[in-house]
Amino acid sequence: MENLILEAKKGNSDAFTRLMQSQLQNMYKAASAILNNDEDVADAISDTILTCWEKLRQLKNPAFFRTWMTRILINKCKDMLRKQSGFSLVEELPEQPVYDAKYENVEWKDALNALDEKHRLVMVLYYVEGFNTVEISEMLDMPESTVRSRLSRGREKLAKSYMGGRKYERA
Amino acid sequence: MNERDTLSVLQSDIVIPEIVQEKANMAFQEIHEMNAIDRREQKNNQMQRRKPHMRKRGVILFVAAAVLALGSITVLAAYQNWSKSLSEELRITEKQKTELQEEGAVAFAMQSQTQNGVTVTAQQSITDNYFAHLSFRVEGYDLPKDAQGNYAEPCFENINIMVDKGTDYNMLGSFYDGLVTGPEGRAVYADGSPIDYDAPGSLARFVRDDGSMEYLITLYNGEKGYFLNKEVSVEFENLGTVSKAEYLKEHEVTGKWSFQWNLQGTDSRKEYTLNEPLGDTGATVIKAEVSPISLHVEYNFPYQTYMETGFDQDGNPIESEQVVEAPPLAGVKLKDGTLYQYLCGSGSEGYYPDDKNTYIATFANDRIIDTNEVAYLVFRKKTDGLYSESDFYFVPVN
Repeated sequence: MENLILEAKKGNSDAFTRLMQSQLQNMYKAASAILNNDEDVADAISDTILTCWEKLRQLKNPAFFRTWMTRILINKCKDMLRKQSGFSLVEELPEQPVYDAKYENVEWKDALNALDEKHRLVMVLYYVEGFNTVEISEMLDMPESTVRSRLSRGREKLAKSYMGGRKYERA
Repeated sequence: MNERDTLSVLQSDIVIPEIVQEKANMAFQEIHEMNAIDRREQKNNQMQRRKPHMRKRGVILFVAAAVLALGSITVLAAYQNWSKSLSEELRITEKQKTELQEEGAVAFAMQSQTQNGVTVTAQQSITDNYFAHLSFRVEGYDLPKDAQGNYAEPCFENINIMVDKGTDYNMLGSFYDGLVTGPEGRAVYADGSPIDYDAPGSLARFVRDDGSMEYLITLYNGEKGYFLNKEVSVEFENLGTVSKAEYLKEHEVTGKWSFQWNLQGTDSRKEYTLNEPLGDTGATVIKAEVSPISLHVEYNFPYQTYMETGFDQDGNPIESEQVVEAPPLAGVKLKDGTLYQYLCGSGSEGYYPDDKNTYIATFANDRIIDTNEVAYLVFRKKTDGLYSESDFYFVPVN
């Protein structure tokens, strides 16, 4: 990926297209943790692609590309939420997500909705996107300790939703 | 499904919904079209280097070979007023300003034109063997804000530039946004404050406290001395805003603002003949020129290629031939230990068409440097991850 980033920074739009296409899954999953329909996710992703092309010059170190791109995406998603009446910031998602009419990725969306809303984005960034807690804290501009506690509580709630709150006991 | 299964499902590959792929493809198409126009307008460099790093931000900047029709230009009093944005962007100290002026690197244009209430002033240029930085001040344009109170991004619809009545250069231009490279390679504000990415609206600070904006242009030509003592003509046409790479006329001020002055410039530089291998990469640094404004390095590095597998937007594997690159030039290390590892900004690297053994890298410095204080040239061993000093090759110079 590093070579694609370097080529894209030189103005190679083919390399940039390949680069962003390779990140489409990651972007879709992260945006879906914030926005609740594919049309909004599509808009946020296409805006992110254009902004990344426009601002790639600001990225000095290719190592930060995924963090930088995801931060742009998250901000685009938040902007969309702000513009939509009745929605507030990412930590307060609506209780009843709207499903798309099509039935693609139903199992995946079921799994996403199994995550507690408050912790969903942090959980997706950590367990699905593979960012570490430092990177997540920078992207979401929250203390690393908060990221860790949200991960911990998110897993607790996920476990409880399946296990009925049962504690494990040593054998 | 248990907790582990849930996470496993989340980590698995999914089908990208059609609407997501369609809108992504539209964005890619828009970028390809803009880029195709960009490249048609760039004149072929006689050296035929590989694609330069310089890109044009925002909308396409149309560079024409037409004769510029100069309107009436007000020549301002010959006071030497440095561009604030250029000073911030290049981190120029007062001492360096004096030195650059004494060396002849600086030309003060000080020409002003007003069209429909907007005054554009050509302030100055800073020029060396390979680069020319130009700055312009814009006053009287009421940069619009959106419903949330965030400024739009300003943009000239067209810019025509000629150097010595020709267009044999590469060019990068945009409104100064108050962002510079921080010590860790990330963008920070010029006053050193970090960026609050979660603050509402744009991060850019286009409008200065006095309500003015500044437009900065960097010109580049790999032929040594190309810009020295050359006449530059710059014409801006129509001032509006840009959003998602599209020029918007909604808040446009029409007009043409035209300027012409001699770049002057300096060929002052430190020149080194070297024979320093970069580890076992097969690259040997053989020559370097260090000026306050740019770095130019030549390596002995025979041309080689390799095949890389990628994927097209349908997921089909495609192979492309890539050129093996020499360890990239990163910057310099000073005698006092200061490491500028993100010094190299715009520029180009590659081979001469008739010499596939000599690899050339020429980059504008992202800040003005004191060439007497440079102790090492710095090259990267790798291009990913975070860097410590062990990730660089240091080539001693002074």
